[in-house]
Parts: sequence; C-alpha cells; structure tokens
Amino acid sequence: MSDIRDILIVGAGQAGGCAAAALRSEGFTGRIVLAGAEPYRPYERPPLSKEVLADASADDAIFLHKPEFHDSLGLEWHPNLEIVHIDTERRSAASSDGRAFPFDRCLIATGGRARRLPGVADNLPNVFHLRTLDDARRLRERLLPGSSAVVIGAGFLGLEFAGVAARKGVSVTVLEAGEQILGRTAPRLFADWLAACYEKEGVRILCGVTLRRLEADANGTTVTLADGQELKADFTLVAIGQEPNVTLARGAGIALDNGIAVDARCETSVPGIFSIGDCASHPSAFLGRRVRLESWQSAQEQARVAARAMLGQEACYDAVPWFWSDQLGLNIQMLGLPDPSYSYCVRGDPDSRKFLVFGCGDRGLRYALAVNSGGDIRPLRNLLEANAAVDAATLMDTTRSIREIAKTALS
Amino acid sequence: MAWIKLAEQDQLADGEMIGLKAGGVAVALYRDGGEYFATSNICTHQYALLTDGYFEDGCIECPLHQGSFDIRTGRALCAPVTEDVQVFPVKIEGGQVFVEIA
Repeated sequence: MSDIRDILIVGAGQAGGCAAAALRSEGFTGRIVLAGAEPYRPYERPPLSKEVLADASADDAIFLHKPEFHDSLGLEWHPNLEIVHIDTERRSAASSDGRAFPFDRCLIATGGRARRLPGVADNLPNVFHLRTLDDARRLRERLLPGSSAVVIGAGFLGLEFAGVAARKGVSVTVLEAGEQILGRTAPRLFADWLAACYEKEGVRILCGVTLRRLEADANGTTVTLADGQELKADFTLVAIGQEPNVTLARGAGIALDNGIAVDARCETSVPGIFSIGDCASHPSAFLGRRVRLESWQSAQEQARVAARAMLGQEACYDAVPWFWSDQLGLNIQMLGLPDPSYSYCVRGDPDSRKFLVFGCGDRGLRYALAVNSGGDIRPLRNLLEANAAVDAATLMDTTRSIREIAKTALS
Repeated sequence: MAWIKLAEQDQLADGEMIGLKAGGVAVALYRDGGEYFATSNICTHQYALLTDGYFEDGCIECPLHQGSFDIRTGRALCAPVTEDVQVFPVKIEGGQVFVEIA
C-alpha cells in the first residue's frame, strides 16, 4: 500500500463515510479526501422516513459517526462540494468551484436521487420527495393533525412515510401503479397482510392505478387518475424509487449497467476507480445475476470490501441481500429477493404481529421475511449464505426453533 | 451503587438471554458457559433491545443492524456499532442473580 498516498471518495453518505473509516481501520495513513454534496457529515438515510419524520430529537442520532470519532479519522472532508469531472488518465478530479483533487485510488459513492414523475415540473409547491435530511425536515413540518396527503408509490419509503403521517393524524392516501404494495421486495401474501394493517390505521391504499395528472398550487395538490377520479390533498409525496447518480462516472467513460458496473471487488471498468452503494451494480453470486440494491447493507458492507480492495488486499462482496423496514410498530427484515417461481409459507400467526415468511425454490429456502423476529435473521442468513438445502417442511416445524433448525442443517 | 436482584439462577438455560428491568434500567442478562453476564439491553447504535437479537459464542448481535458486542466487556465488535455497550457487575447468591447498577 506504500504507493498509495491519495484516496478520493466522492460522496459523503453512509457508503463514503463507512469507506473512509474502513480505510483507517485497515491501516491506511495517507490522505483521504471525502467530498460530499450535502452540508452534513455522513449520515444514515433509513431513519429519514422513520424516526426523523416522527420526532425532531432523532436528527442527531442519524449521523454515522460521533463528531469525536469523525474528527479522529483525520479526513479532508469537504461538505457542499460537487465533483464534476474525473480525468482517469491523469488521475485527478475537478470540483465545480475549479479545484483539483489528484488521487491514486478513487471511490465513487454518489448514491441516488429521488425519481421524478415524468412530465411533472420540478419544484412544484406542496410536492415533496424524500432523500435527504433537509427533505425529511421539510416534510416533518407538514405532518399536522387534520391535514391530508397523497403518497405516490407504495414501496418502503412511501409506506413508512404513510405510517408515520397517519399516526400523527394526517389523512393519507397511497397510490400504487402495481397490483400490490412492495412489488419489488415482498411476496403478495405479505403485501396483502401489510396493506390490511394500513387500512386499520385509516390509510387508504389504491393499487393498480394510473396517474393522469398531478397539479399543484399554493393551496395544495390535485392528483387525477386515469379513470377521472380526483384526489385533493394538502400535499403530495412522490416516492417512486430512486435513480443512481451516474453522471460523473459516465463522463469519465466508466462502464454502466443499471448503475456503475463493478466487479466483486467493487472495482469499475477503470482500474483504480471503485464504486459502492446505491449507485453501483454488482454481480450477486446468490442471485446469479448483476443487481443494484439500494440498501443500508450495500452501503455498509461494500464500503469495507472496497476499502480493502483499494489497498490491494483480498476482498469480495458476496452478501445475501438483506433489507429492513420499520413501520406501524413492525420491524420487517428480508433476506434474498422474492421471485414468482417460489412457493411461500408462513411460520407463526400474523395476527400476533410476529411471524416468518419463507420463499422456497426447487432446492429449498431462497427468501425469508421476518416480522418482529430479528433474532431469527442471523440463523436464516447462515442457511442462505451456505446455500443449505432446507425445505419448507423443515422450516415449518414449530417444535424446533429456527436457530436449532439452522444448526442441524449446517452441521 | 446497589445490588439489585434480577432473576433466579435457573431462569436461564446455558446459551440463553433475557431482558429485564433493574432500577429503571433495561438490562440484558446472559448465561454463557455456566457464567452470567449483564449488559445494557439497548443497542448503542439505534434504539433496539439486544435480547431481541441473536446470542452466540459470547457475542450479542443487535436485531436491527446486526452490530455485535462482547457480552463480557461490552466492546463493540463490528460496524455499525462504534460505541461500547455498558456492562454491569453480576453476582450469584442463594440461587439468585444480582446486578450492580451505578
């Protein structure tokens, strides 16, 4: 590692911040430039649609590192700085204010931005997106009892917002284009159960709807559906996913494939330039295909892999996809991704709000979802990582704990 | 400083843990290799009860982010946790487990 003196990290979110800390814990003593577009030191985004929306006192708890630890890393941290160009030949990056940042290794952790509704102007009054701490703070001010909101998109972000808003006395309607909520991450039987939980909270969810128009003025918003139905609200949250920030990489001639394409070491098509987190797509041995997963796990664990790889050490990212969500007092964790070919079964009683859902393929367990059962995730992850062939009947044996079942299967 | 009775000794099998309150403090009590250990039951990262997590080989793993701590020392072992969790002294008397809460 002696020939590596300067490492540039573009993006000071969770991925960039973790990578900086990981470089130090791997013993790198050279210069680390951490350039972030936001004014804040690295923070975690999952709480933005949960604790931060619910309670202003949560703001300070979202930062990745405490100020003393952040300071102890000895980073050259540049908030509010946009890197606009990377010269891969000369190994130097340029910021929008004209400064040059030479590097021996560069890590692109530029994340993503909230996807905009096509054909809708940006910066409409009373129309919100949720990606940054500032976004969350602006939305929090709107969660007034007796007000009304429309949420477009029933993914995790939209639902978490709906749950918090409803419990604050906001009348919420969620619109989803797909036939079910959580279409990308959860099977239908769970989605329907969760949708029923929302109904009990007074949240109206409409699936399979097509938007015709979104109009907004200083008084509120009006969403018109394809069937002519009009939904008026005080404000609208557009939560239809995110788009990876790849402009910088594209300009540098780095290969893209649903985001910045990296190998298992998180290295891009340009040697010495790496990418991690929401903006990067990686080969998943578990899924047998390239994926870009917008998750806490990708940010966190790829950061450690990239740090080692940048320093020339052995490293490989091969994690089983893992996501979690907190909504309506439910902690929901998922391993793997659902697939139409899987058959699903439920262990435990959903009415107890504590249960597991298993998705099994030809060789057994491929997907698991845990509701208020976080302690079962680790043994299930062990099973999936080992590619152990455990069938549904074994998993559904309630005379044995998941921990015991996993131990037996892996012994 | 006071010793507070937390549990009966046989309330826990080896390798098990339980979440309890002592003097208004949420305590996680673990039994590992015949010995008893106690830590704060709240993860130092974000609010979660450690006893909802996974306990094995002297380590407790948080149910939310899978950060883990050494139950003997409270030491934060892996990201995302960077801050150690508080540990409490434990003593056994007359088949009962006591913890000392400062």
